Amino acid sequence: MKLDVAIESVQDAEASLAKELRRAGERHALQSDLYHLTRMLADRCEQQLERLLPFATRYGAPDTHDPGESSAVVEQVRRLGGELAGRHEASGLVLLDDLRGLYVSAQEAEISWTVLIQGALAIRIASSSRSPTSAASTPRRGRSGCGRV
Amino acid sequence: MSDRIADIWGSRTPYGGGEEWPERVDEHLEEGVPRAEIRWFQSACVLCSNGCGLDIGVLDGRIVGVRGRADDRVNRGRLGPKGLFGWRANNAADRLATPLVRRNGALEPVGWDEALDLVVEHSRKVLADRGPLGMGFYTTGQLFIEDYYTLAVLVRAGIGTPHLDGNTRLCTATADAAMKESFGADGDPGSITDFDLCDTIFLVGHNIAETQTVLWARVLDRLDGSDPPRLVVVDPRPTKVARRAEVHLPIRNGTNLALLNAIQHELIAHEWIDREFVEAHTIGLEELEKTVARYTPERAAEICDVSASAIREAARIVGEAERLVSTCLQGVYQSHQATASAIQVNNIHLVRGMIGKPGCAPFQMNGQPTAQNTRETGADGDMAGARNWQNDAHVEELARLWNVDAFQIPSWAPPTHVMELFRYAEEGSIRFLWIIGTNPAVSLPDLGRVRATLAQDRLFVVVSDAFLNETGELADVVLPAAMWGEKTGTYTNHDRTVHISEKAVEPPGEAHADMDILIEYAERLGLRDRDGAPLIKWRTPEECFEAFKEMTRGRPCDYSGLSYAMLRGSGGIQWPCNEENPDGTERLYTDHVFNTFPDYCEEYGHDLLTGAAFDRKDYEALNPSGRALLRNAEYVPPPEEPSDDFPLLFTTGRTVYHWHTRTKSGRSRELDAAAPEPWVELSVADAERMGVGEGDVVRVESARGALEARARITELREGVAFAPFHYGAWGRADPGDAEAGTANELTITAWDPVSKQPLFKVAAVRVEKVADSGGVAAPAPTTTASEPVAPLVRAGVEPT
Repeated sequence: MKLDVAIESVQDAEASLAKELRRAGERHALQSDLYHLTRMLADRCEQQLERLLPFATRYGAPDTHDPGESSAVVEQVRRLGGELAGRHEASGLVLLDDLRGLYVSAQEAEISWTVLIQGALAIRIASSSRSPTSAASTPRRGRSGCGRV
Repeated sequence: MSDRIADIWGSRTPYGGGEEWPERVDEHLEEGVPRAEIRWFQSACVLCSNGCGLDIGVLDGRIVGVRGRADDRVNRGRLGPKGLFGWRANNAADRLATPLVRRNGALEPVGWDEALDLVVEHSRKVLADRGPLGMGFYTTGQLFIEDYYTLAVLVRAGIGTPHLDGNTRLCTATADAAMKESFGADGDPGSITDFDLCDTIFLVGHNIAETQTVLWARVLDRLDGSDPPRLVVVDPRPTKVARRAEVHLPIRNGTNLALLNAIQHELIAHEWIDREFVEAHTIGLEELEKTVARYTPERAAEICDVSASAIREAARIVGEAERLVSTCLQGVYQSHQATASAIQVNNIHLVRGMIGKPGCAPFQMNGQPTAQNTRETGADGDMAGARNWQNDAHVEELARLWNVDAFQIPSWAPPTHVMELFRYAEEGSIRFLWIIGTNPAVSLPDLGRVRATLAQDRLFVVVSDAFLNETGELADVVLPAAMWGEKTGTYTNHDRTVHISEKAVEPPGEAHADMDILIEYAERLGLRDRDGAPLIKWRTPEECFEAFKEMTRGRPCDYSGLSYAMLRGSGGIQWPCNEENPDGTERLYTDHVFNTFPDYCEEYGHDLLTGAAFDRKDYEALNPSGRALLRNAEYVPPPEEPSDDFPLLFTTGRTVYHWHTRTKSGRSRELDAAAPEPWVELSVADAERMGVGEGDVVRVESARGALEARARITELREGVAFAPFHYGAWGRADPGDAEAGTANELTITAWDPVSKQPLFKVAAVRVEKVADSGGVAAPAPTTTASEPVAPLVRAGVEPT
């Protein structure tokens, strides 16, 4: 069973989703709902990765991940850029493009989770704080985050 | 009659549970008016959502006073301070009496033809260049059904833009959203008489003593009568309501959801739930149980910063109630996780089986007197007649009623909410914005941003109002509108009571009713139905009401059995009023069948965390089919929390003597004198730490802006600062001036994901003293939640 590969694929997908969420929020800082929502959902991606960590260790997947956070300065610059560009009509098109990208990334994360959960069920992980049923709810949460998109 | 500024609720007329609330007729007339010569015109108060029945007194074509209507089911003759004194605004010397047009930077008076030609010319240009999406409309919660319905048909069927909202987004969007999520459609299930019948009242974020004074008088009379109800109050401020409570939970603002989850945790743990009812009439208990299991009183106590034992005690009182009335208002709606929290109050009633029965009702309260009607007419983010924008059959019904093609009515996406509408104006996709009877330059959050948006050259702004307010100052065209008492129409309060309001006097100068202005605009713009006939078929308010009635036939808010003739002389009639219920309907859901059928429901629900709209197949999969939905949600922290730079939580609110941005109440000398200037409330502990005393001038600053005002030290919870939201730049040269004391210079641009209601009650601020009091107390009322702490009263604060 190549569970390490499945875990790593989830880690990659969640980390890149988190990063894209943060960047999209900052790029569209004047789009206030998107700004707050992307930050909250990115935090959730981080939490998912934290919870996956013990399994990563156990099955030989990487035990660290890139939090995807830019330095405060870069974040601030991106945000200010977003505020300036946000008064231009073309910002709507950029927004649409970013939302499309996010939708695809969230789907990617969902598929990775599905594969991992099926693998995990196959080898019947019994222990840990998360039961297979509660783990199964994870991809659904990912999808609802993107339903808005 | 006593001084009704000092004596806000008037004399007590105690009554016991289940008895009829005694009459008490309140009246206020101009001094020296010969009473016998006064002519009286039936109406209802438009200065809060209670909608108290009153008569307008007229002498020589002028309003000279008001008196309560003794036979009205809502108030039994009583009026509050705003009702008694607010009518003076009608007679104000600075009413707009002629249209104004901006020329060389200044607004100049012109005739109606010239003003409307300009509005039509700009509309045509924007429509030609950019189509309907270039057009935006923002209305109020102060007009009548007839004005709103005309607007809704004009905008949805005529212009064909989704960009129409009401300022009800700021006050009751969450009430609407929470009822749609739980019960399938808008409409408060209960009756105001449930306050007479209940044994327990649970008030969540609802300072009823100041926001609905006459309803509080009703509760006070119960509290002073035999068999008084028990009272549980959730509010960070020491309101008069909180002072009468058996249990007061002064939670940290923005944490309602954690508290309400913990209360449900206790209800379930102690089996204070009606399993039979839940099984037969609801879905979702299992998921709800799973979620609230994680909210022990201890965990909620940590989040909310109140004691776990107080939470337990509150839950016990709610759990042991036999007839429970609960209410929510802005403490829930303008706070973080607004819809998710309001839903939990619905849940409490559903799990206890206390809905659709005498004395048992959750009230998702309204703020404004006619907020209900923006929703029903579709003049806000709803579709007319509580229809579902995602249901093609509903949109086709409207198309048939309005005689237009269905594709003319925008329904490919949800209607635009006001924050998004202003965002589109900011980025330049909306180029024409008509603002009707509301003052976003004071009432929206983050005002610096709002002003910059309205001041853009590329945006053409039309304002129709009775006064030139802060928003009018930024407009290209200002149109003078008639007020309450100057036109005939109908409106509906929070318990679905419909009143008629007669035209008592002529509007000043060339001012016209909003309905007439909109009809004239539609005519000039050449809006036609699909047969080439004028789109708007009515010319009088009564004709409009008849068309509106027909539109509501068969929907939850069914007015089809009502008429002007029935409403005249009545003490208020509750919808639905139709063939089956010819006298109206006191309570909804008495058969415990809810409006959750996929073909009938007003919406398919939302993900409470993100606001993502579910679609029909999601709803069908849930298969509620008449059962109410128990929706659950996890608490998440608000988007802005106190930090080292901004260590206090800031909250804003309505106070007893003022209404909105004081456009009306500031022009009533009695109301203005009672609270002439803004103030800031601080807790004793925070004030001591900062060295601030009563009356000292403080600067309150957030990441967005600042206000300066005198401090009032109260029993407010520690770590919180409060400012009333009423005060704008009125009378000041610079609108951004901190000394104006405008609360919304500080508030954050953020909103609830489901109801899209902005967060006025959760922002982080710092407070510093800028000047000594010089012996002057804060101009805050002493009669209300802003009552000073005891030692300061002795130090010489004059009572209001």
